[in-house]
Amino acid sequence: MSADELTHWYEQYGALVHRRCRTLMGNEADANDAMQETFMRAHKHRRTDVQQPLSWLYAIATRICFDQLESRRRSAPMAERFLTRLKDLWGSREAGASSVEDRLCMGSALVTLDETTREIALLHWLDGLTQEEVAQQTGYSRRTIGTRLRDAEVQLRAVFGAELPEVTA
Amino acid sequence: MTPFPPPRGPACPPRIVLERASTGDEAEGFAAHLATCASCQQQLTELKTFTHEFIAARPSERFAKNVARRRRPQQLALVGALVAVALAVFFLVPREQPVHFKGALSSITLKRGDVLGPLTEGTPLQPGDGLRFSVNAPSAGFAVVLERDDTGRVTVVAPFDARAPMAVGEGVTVLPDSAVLDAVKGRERFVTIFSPHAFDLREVSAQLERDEAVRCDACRVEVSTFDKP
Repeated sequence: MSADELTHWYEQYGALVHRRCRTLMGNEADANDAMQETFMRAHKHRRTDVQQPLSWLYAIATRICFDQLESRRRSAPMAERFLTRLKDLWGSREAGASSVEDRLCMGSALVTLDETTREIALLHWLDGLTQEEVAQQTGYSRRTIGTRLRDAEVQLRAVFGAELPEVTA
Repeated sequence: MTPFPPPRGPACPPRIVLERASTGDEAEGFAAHLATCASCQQQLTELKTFTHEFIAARPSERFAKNVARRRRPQQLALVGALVAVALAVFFLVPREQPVHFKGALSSITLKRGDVLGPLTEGTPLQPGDGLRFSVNAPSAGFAVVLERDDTGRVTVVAPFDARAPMAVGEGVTVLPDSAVLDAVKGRERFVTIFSPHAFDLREVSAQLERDEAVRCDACRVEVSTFDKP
């Protein structure tokens, strides 16, 4: 992929990839870093068999975001982790954001869950697949999907409480 | 614009299909539905507007500059990286286990243009080169190839972005995915790891990021370094 192609991909997919990163990371600076890293990795490892570039970029972005969040979680002492969580939650409110969506740092809520549960949660909540469609795509039973989504929602509600919109269909 | 998709109508596709359609990519079977669904039409318009406004606020020229800045090799960093490479080669040698350099554990196939051939030690690499990795396993086990760049960033290159090493049988296995080299000059260092037992890929990646010796149960480690002048 040439530099021109990279720029073209950015113009085509950058907004949505950034939004995905923003939702997971919870702040603009981290979202920008994750988005740039996503396109740089895509540029370096462009595969010829990518049928759905947006989904591929989302997968790379999701991995980058959770790697970053996991790395912070492992390295930060408890008190610092608590402060980081507070900053994630309330920092953007100070910058003028008002809705829970604006302040959402979904990644910090889901980072403690296993990778399968995260994948299921993102397919359902962000990609908008029904539980049945998630089951078809992942190969897990509908019952497993429901259980995993409830686990994930418990984590999300622990962070966002009553402000969280109804997310599990 | 909320990241949560609005409720779907019974015949409406998932949000991801609308997002794909908004980028101009083909969304199979969606056009017919779109013509009759006001809700999807509205969402599609909102997504296109969102992308348009995003790019207007963050033009691609700025993005290209930011990416270039992240990649720009600085002279001091380059010297540091060369020292780091030398130290890493030293430290990557496990005290109790020998390193098997290229030819013993792994081999790399180079695709340059339409020409395919084995990559030999000392061959300068070029932007656009495609590399495919093979592992010659002494027994059934698990293998992976990592790359560590001059900034210390570690990427799982084969299988690309894998979360765990790949199960391989005894003998030669061509690993999935290939790395296509970018235009950044410097050194490309590939680390092939094999173990008869499953190992924690995140742990060995972290060791490599910290420039430490790769340690895992009964691992064999092979380092191949190439210049990209």
